[in-house]
Amino acid sequence: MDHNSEDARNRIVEVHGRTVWRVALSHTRREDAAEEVFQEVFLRFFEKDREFQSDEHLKAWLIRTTLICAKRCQAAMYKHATVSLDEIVSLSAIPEEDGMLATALFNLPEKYRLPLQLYYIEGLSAEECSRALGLRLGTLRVRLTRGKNMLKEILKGEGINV
Amino acid sequence: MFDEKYHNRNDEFALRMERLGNQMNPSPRLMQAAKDGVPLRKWGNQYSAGYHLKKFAKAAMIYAVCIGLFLGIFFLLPDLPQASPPVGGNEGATELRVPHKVPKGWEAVSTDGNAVTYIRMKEGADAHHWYDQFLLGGVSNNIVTDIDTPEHMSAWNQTVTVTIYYGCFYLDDLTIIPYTTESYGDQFHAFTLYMNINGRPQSILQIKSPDELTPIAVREKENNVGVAQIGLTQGIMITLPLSELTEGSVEWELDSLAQKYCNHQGRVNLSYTQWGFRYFRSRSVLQEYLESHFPYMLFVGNSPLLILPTVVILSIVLLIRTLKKKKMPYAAFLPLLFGVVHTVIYYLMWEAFYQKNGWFDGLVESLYLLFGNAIYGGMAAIVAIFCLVAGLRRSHQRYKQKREVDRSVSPKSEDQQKARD
Repeated sequence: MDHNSEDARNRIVEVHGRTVWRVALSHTRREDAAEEVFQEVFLRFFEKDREFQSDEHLKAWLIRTTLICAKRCQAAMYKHATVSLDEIVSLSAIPEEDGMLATALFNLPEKYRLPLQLYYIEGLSAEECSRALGLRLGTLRVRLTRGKNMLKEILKGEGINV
Repeated sequence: MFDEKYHNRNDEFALRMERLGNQMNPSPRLMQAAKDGVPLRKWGNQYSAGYHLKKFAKAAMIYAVCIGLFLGIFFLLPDLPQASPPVGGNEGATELRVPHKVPKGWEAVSTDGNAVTYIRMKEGADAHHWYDQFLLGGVSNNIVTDIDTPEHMSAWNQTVTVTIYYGCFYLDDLTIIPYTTESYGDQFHAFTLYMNINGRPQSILQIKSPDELTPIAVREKENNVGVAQIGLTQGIMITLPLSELTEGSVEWELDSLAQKYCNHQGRVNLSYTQWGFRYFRSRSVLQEYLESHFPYMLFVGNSPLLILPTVVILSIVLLIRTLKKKKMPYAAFLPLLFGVVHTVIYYLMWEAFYQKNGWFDGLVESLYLLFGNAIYGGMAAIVAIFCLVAGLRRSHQRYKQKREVDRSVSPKSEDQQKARD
């Protein structure tokens, strides 16, 4: 597959761009950092002609690369400054009801946030999530369950029953 | 543990999560940039000049604290005596003066009832304590003999005896000023300055012609005499790293010929202080060792003795840091910077203000000492260069990596695009 043709590039960015963006945003919780990660992932992707067996394989590679880049970016950011969550993630574009869910999700610890993100939002299977996050299946399942419970608890406190 | 029903993708929670995901979109500009393969942000150094400045300032602060602690622990003790300038000028014929304030543990001794001829340590006083006090005190620790008229010739024969009890001794600023050079004419006679060290007379300086009245330096290592300089206006500085001289006396006198031709005006200023120590109270074991093994270091001042340990320790620390973290070591430049600034400013001030020799002399002196002071300057420079190379190498590697990525995704040239089409 030639990823460097204009059509292929447009298609890949169009199809997987949102996934990369969401994972990057979820991981870094900063739009500017997510932008950096987003670009770096696609630059990495286009720098070599890579062979992928399927679209799922490509998606898994993009998610894994996004997680790696986001982790590195986050480590660099951590050394410099920390700011409050409200200042960094712009949730104004999201309707109020979903905005609360988004806030709750972003406030979850990373180890619960990312499994929920990949499983529910990106639609990966439990096995794919475990591979992308480098977790054992059992661990992933525990985190998914606990994360979901925590999220529900937070939303319950806000008066939203899910 | 994993409950498929609980994690059903069709329940309300999953649907809301999916809806949330649909609302989280990258900006069209970012999408377009990714499609074009052109990053929105410039690759490369993402840190501003202010960031580097802050890092450097932080390193400078740490370095200053380290030096402060080091000097504080090893050299400074409470009740530092207040410094006062040494005595100079024409104070009267045959007058021998000792410090206004006799150092603690010492007493002034008068041989003729009025003029104090020498000072000596009180019996039982702690020699080390005296030494510290004496050198630190900045008291007017000069013995000055001013001779204005021939009838005061006898002053030249005056033997000033200073009893040395401990460590090194300095004869500083021993100045012999002939009336004029012309007064010698063709009848110039050589003169010799003798010095008795531990009762052994040693000729430390011989002036054989008027030409030699320009500043010269004499080294007679075999006599344990470090350096002697003389000039029309420049005094003799005799630095005596007399490691063997733990107790004894130093006497000096000019020979008779010198007395004859130098009798109109002359000033012998016997000073047994050394400015470098005025700031520091005690001498570390390392200093003692260096002084006894590397006496020439005294010639370039005592700053190497004081700075060297700090520089050595910090350089090693910085080196390890650099190798371990592979980061640009800002602090590695500080020993070098410190050495340069310290040397230039200190000697400049010393010559220009204290010695009143003018800015030019101060600058020349400071530059001379800067280059001569290769002990810590050179070492710091080596460390700094090493760290610089390591940092630059690392930086260059990063740059190369980024450039390769940029090239691979940069928009193709028109020719390439046409060929592709």
